[in-house]
Amino acid sequence: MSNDHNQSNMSPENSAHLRDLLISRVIDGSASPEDWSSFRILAATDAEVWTDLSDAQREHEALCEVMHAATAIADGIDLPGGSGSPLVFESRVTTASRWGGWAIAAVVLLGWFTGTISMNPGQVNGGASGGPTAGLLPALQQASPDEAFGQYLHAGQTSGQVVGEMPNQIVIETLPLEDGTIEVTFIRQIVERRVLDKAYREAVDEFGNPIVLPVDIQSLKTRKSQ
Amino acid sequence: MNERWDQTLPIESAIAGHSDALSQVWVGVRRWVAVILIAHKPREADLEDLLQLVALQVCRKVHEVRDPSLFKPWLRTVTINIAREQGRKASRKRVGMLRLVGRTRNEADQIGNMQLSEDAKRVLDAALSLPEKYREPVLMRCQQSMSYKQIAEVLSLPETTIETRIARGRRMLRETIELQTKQELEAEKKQRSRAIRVGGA
Repeated sequence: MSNDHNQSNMSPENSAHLRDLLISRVIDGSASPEDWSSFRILAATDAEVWTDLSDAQREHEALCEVMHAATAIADGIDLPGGSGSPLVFESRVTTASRWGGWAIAAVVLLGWFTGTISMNPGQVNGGASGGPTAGLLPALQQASPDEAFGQYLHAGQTSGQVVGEMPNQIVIETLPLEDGTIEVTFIRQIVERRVLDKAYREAVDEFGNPIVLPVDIQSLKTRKSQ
Repeated sequence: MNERWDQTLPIESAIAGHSDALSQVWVGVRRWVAVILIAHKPREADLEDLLQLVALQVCRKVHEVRDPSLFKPWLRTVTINIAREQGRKASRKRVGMLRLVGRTRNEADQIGNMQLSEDAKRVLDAALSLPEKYREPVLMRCQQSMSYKQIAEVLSLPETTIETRIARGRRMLRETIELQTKQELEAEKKQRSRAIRVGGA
């Protein structure tokens, strides 16, 4: 940038642009001796440029610090590989989404996780592999949430209502606390099965309002007929 | 980040399907992918989730890149699309889930898993409120001092345009923060005078 630039002859727009560029170059450490000369000439008539330079420098450093820390998370993200390779994942998703109907999709999903579902309520309780026996179960009112949950799984599996718990929990928020601990909000997913004599499906009427419609169960193919 | 960093990335081999080369390329670019995600994602969307989606898309689609010199603009487009589409979906879902359990998420206080100080939050908020064409180069310039040339390559723009946008973006950032500080001081002043009036009465 030439030292010969006469600021007073410049349009206000060009002058502002030159000012921005000079400040930016000084911050980046890329200002040439000519840029510095222009900067000094500018500062002689506009002392505020020093304040602006110092503010811009401070803000740039603060932003760099934030961005550096924020993007550090990327260092922990590697390309997917091995058995969980993207191709395998993609084919699973495509297969699942190709099926029409929620009932079939649900069966596919259940099959997907068979064998990995925690079927043993004893594990939930952190107890022995044989699972809790009725006599040792604490009364529900005195039970801790984990114990009560274990009892629910055990009772549900005995009656056939609970199939199991999905192995993956969905984390929806993590919040580091001041005492050095971390608060994690997550979803535990339970797979249940029910036998119903009535079923409804969600639909939309001609005005776009959500409605529920009864499903004609008789018209559905039964498992035997398939 | 330096000039050699770019030249040594085996982009051609990665496109040809060599998984080691692809991993090496990913390691070289994942930080600036994170910057682009931050510049374009909704506040509530989780950066880590979106990075994983970009990684997945790179594996699936990198072979479609015709020319190694177009790899970076291609990756930027993929990243922006994921930030906008998936980010919106993910943030809606997450907010819905939190609402279900009677919670609200304040992503402005958090980026990734990092808690921000008031000053850092103010600068980041101001940077994220910049118009898109200034936001991205300003944030990229912060990333291990990416050179104007490297930023120009990613954004497919001339270097002079990048320099102008960064310079102007920095001025806008300064003005936004000045305005915020002024408004805060005025609000504080009003509150104090109201408190004095109430105390006097």
